[in-house]
Amino acid sequence: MAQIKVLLVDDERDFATALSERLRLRDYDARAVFDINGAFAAMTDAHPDVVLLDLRMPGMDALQIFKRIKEHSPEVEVIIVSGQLASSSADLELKGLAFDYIVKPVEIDEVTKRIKQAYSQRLNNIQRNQTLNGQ
Amino acid sequence: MDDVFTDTHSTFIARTLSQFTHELNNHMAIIKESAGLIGDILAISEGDISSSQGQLMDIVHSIDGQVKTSTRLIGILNRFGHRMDSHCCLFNVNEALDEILSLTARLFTTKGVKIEADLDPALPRIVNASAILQLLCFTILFNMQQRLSKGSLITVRTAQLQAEGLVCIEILTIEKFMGNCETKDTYPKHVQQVIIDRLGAIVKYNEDEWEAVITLPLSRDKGV
Repeated sequence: MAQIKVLLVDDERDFATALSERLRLRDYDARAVFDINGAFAAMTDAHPDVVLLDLRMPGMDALQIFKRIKEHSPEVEVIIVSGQLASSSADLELKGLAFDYIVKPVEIDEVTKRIKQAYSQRLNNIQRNQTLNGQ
Repeated sequence: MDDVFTDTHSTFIARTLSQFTHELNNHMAIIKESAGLIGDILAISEGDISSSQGQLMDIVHSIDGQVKTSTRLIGILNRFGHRMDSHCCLFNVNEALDEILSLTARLFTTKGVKIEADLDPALPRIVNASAILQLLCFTILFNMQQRLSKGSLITVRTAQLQAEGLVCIEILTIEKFMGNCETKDTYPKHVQQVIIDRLGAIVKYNEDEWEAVITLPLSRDKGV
């Protein structure tokens, strides 16, 4: 299995750094960024398979960030990671659009399980698009 | 009017708690990941931690810092809860403001709005309902941030008007407001007036009707 590229977008530096380090120790190609500019730059530089996106990023609504990510890479799967359950209509809309929604604190085994599922979904997305395009 | 007040106070507490528990959860998550990382490093080092000692110490310091921060935050939440024990008591206005700014900080930082406190250390303590004063300040701050753009600064300043025996709280910004309409989320002026009446305070709004100067008597019984 190819090394799964994971991008963590979270303004809580210590959290994102520790989680990305733990993912690397589990053989994921994980990278952490701490602001939305870093996130958009990493979408171009790192071509992640799966994005773990914090629900509350300073400066831009998570739904907007999600849409920008999907515009850039429609096949990438996004997992929302949040310190709270989805409650507002915008949060619930995002929860419906994203691959998954997990609440902090997270269990590492649960995170890796969801990442693998999201990666499988991404491969399916790519395959389906290739079929639709007759490739 | 009691219903209006109760509803407003309930939404204030709900907003405060949801922001704050989110903040606490973030700190718990950092602690959990940091501890997990220590476990991972120990597992792969198979007993020989000499090469990882520096990294382990950094993580331990990070956990220590997070626990201290979380403990401080829990203390703030605890004091916030206890303010509702009594309808009227002697309290320090600066502490009440500092507390509500800490509790709701995430709400403002997420929006990209910075709040700067300039609190007069010589401010006398007053007799009033501190929980209701926090509610009033929150409604003013909340309404302001709704209409401010990213990067804006709000200043909260306290001062004593010695001659009059009053305490004054200014909530101001040098930024330009966007739009001029109340939204479904803003606290309407008539609701704020109910809160103001309960405090026996006077609030003067500026031309935009969003910045405010709150004047409070040293004792609510005396009025402004």
